[in-house]
Amino acid sequence: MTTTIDETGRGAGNITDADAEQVFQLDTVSFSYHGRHEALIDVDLTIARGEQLVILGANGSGKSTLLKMLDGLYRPTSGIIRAFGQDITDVADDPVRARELHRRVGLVFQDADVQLFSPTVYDDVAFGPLQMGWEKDRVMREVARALEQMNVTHLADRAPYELSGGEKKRVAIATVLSMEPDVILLDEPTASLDPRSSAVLVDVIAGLRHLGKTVVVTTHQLEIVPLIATRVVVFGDQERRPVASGGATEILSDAELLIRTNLVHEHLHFHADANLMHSHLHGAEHHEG
Amino acid sequence: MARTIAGVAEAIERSVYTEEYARADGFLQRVDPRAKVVVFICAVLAVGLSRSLSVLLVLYALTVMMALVSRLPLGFFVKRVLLGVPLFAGIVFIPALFLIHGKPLIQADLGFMHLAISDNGLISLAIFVTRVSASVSLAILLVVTTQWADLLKALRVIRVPSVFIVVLGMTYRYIFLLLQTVENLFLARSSRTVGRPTDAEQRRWIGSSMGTLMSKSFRTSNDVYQAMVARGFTGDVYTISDFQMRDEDWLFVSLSVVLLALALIFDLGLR
Repeated sequence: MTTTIDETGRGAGNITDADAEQVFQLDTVSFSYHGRHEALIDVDLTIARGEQLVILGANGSGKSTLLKMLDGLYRPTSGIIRAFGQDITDVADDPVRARELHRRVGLVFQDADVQLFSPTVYDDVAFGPLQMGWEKDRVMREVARALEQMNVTHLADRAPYELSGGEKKRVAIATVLSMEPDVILLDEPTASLDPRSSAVLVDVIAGLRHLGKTVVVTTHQLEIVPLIATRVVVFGDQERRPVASGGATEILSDAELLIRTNLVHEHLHFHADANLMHSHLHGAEHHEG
Repeated sequence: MARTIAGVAEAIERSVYTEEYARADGFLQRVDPRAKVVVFICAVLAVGLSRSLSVLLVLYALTVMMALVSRLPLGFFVKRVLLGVPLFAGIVFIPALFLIHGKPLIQADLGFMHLAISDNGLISLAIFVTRVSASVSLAILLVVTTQWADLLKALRVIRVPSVFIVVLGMTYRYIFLLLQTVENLFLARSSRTVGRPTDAEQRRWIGSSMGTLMSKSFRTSNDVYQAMVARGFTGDVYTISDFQMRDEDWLFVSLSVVLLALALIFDLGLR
C-alpha cells in the first residue's frame, strides 16, 4: 500500500516493520551546499536491516546527497542521523568513527571512473581492505571473493580505463564488497548503461540480497524498480524529501504521484478525434491513458 | 583542430599499444618487475660510468638484443630512441665539439675566430650520444616491457614512498580521462563548426575549453577524494604487492650485475 507522506515529510519512517532492526534512521535531516542551495529539507526516513530500498526521484531531488550523508561523507546542516543505533551526525569530523562506518556502509558512486582510481582492477578492489589495516592474507582473500562474486576475476590485472561501462560498474561494486559491508549504497547504478549491461547489473543488485546485505539504490529509471525493490521511497524534486513510500507495484501504478514528482511526463496524443492527455513511464511497459 | 584531435587520439592509442607490449610473452615481460628495476639502475650506472665508446656500443647492442628477445618490434624500439635523442644530445654537445683539443680534422677560419673539430671532439660526441641513447633505450625497455601498475609497485624496492607511487598511479589513470574529455570537447566543437574559424575565435574557444577542463578536473579530484574516503582513506596510503622472485629472476639479476661489472672493469682497463 502506498503511503503518501504529509507536508512536513513525516511518515516515511513509519512504513517499516517497527520490530525490524533499523540500519539507518534520519530525523528531520536537512543539507545545503555552501549554505545556499538546499539539497535536502527535513528528511525523515528509516531503513531496516535486509531491505532492498529504492529511492526514486527526478534529477535534483537530493538522492545522491542523501547517500553521501548515509555514508558519513557529508554532515547534515540540521537534524540527526543514526546508523546501527549510533548517532553518526558528526561522523564526517571524526576519522576513526568514519572509517568504521565506511567499512560497514559501502557507497558505489554514480560515476564508476571516480571510484576506480587505481592502476589495476585488483588494486582498486584491494584499496578499501588495505586502508582498514587488514592482514595481507585477509586482504587477498577478500579481494578474490569480491572479484568472484561480481564475476570479474578475469579483469583483475586490467586497467580501469580498458573496461566497458558495465564492467566498470561491477568492479565498482566489488571495490565495496571486498570490505564486507553490511549496507551497500548504489547511486544510479544503471545510468548510461546499455540495456544488456543494465540487465546484468540488475541481476547483480538483486543477488546482493542473498548475501544478506541491506541495499539502498537511487534511480530515476522506473523499469528497474520492480526487479530490485522490496520498498520504494519517492523523493519530490520540489520538496527535496520523501513524498511517498510503498511497494514497487503500488508506487509505479500511482500515475499522479509520478507526474507530480517529474518521474514521468504527460503530453497530448490524438486518438481518432479525441485529444487525450497521457503519462508515460520511461522505458517501462506501464502506460496510463 | 583536426591535428589536435588526432594528437590526443594518438597519445591514447600509443599508450594502449605500449601496455600491449608489456603483456606480450617475451623474455623481460616474464621477469619480476623488481628484478628489472634493480638491473635497470645498475645498467644506467654502468652506462653513465663507462668512458669507452666500444663498451658503450656493446651495452647498447645488449639493450637492443634484450628488446628483440622481449618481442618488441625493432623499428618501434630503435625509432623511439634514434629519432630524437641523438639529435637533441648532438645539439647540446655542439659547442663542446669545438672546444675539445686534439688532432684537427675539420678547420674553418672565420677571420675573427678559428674553428676546429678535433678527433677527440668527434669521439667525445660519439660517446655522449651513445651514452644518452643507451640510457634512454634502457628506460624505454623497462617501461615498455612492464605494466605501469607493476612498475609503480616495483619502485617500492628502491624505497619510493607509497604516497608518491599512489599519486603517480592516479595521475596516469586520470590523464586518460582528461585526454578523452579533451578529445570530446574538440570533436563537439568540430561537429558544430562550418568553415574555418578566425584565429581570434580559435583562441577564445581554446581559452574557454581550458577553463572547462580545469573545472572538470577540479570536480573529479573532489569526487575521487570522496570515493577514497568512503573506502577508509584517512591520509596514509597502503599498497599490496604479490610479486614473487623466482630462481630465474635471481639468476637474471646476478648475471646482469656480473656482466655490467665486467663491462666496467674492461672499460677501466681501456683508459
